[in-house]
Amino acid sequence: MSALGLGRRLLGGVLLGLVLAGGAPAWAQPAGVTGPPSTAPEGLDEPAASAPLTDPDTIEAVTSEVSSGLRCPVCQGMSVDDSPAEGARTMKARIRELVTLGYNRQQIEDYFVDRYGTWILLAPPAEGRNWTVYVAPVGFVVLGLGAIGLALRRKVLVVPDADGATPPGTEPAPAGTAASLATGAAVATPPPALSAEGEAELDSYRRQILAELGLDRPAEAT
Amino acid sequence: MNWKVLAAGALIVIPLVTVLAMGFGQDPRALPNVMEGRTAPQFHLSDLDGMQSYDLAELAGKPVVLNFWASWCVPCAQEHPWLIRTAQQYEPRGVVFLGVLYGDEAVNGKAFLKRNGHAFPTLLDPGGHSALDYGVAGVPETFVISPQGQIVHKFVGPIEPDLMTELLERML
Repeated sequence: MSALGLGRRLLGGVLLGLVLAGGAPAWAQPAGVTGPPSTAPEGLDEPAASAPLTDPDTIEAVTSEVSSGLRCPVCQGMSVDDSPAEGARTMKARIRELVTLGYNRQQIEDYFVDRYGTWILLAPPAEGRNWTVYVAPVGFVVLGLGAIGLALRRKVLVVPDADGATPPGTEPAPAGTAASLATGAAVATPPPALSAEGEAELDSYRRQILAELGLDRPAEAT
Repeated sequence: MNWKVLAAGALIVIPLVTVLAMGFGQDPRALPNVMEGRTAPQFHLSDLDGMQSYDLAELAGKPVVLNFWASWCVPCAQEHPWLIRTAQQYEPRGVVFLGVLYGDEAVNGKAFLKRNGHAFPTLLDPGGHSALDYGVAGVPETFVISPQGQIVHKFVGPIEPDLMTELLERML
């Protein structure tokens, strides 16, 4: 990207931030315009919050930003910004006109919500039954964590006593589980019994080790 | 299974079933009808020839039927004969019928009317401003406006002739 192109992008980003924040830079006004218009165009209830915009990059960036938050009434699963449908194109053209006139995002969303209801917003407002959408995931995470915590707590508490017995209605924790690790309880599984040949082989190894260590002879009296 | 397990299950299942039941009772593709009962948005539009303009404010005191349509719209062609018949029946009694071309060119609208006949003027809506002001999501959509300027009913899709007749009779 050339330095000029980068500069234009940065300038567009700064202007977009200013406009979305509800204001417009004074130098974005056309000559002779000193403030926002005092009358609303036909179909709108209130005048624009800001002075008209003239920079095409800023207008396009704000239009895209606003239309990406509105639902296409025809295809429904897509935003107005993404949809090629006739209805969405009509809406986007209207948004572009309103942005050019100086209307900010909130004013434009209010206009469409007034005509189509909150359904038109891709992100439903956190009010009424919509709260379910925001609260339910957090609630389920909390419930899930609680269930995991309870399950772990039960496992840790169910540890066999000295005789290997467990409380009535419970199963002993298997070796190597959180129970034995947490409490240090001796619940290791005994080694399997060896055959006679195995025992003899093991004994030969034991004697070899002792011989190498010089421990196979009884200690000499001094 | 003890009562604690049952209670925990109920705590999870009941809210889920409630939310789903509320959702199943609605058509997820149906747009909410927020315009009925409200004051009809004003418009000032010209006919397809640009010869005559129509202003809703000037029609105060008369019931108005405002039909948004397009030449490319199949259900619009389906309801067209019903609209013509209803207009022929009620215009002499003071009801004003107006069509508004939606997402279409005047030349296509004229060709459609020449082919299918017409009984009331169709207006051009540059930029679709009036369609958006009325919350139109697609065509056909028809608004029945009272003599006091209130939107009495909104037909989404082809009109229902019996209901249209009932609404107009109630206003006359």
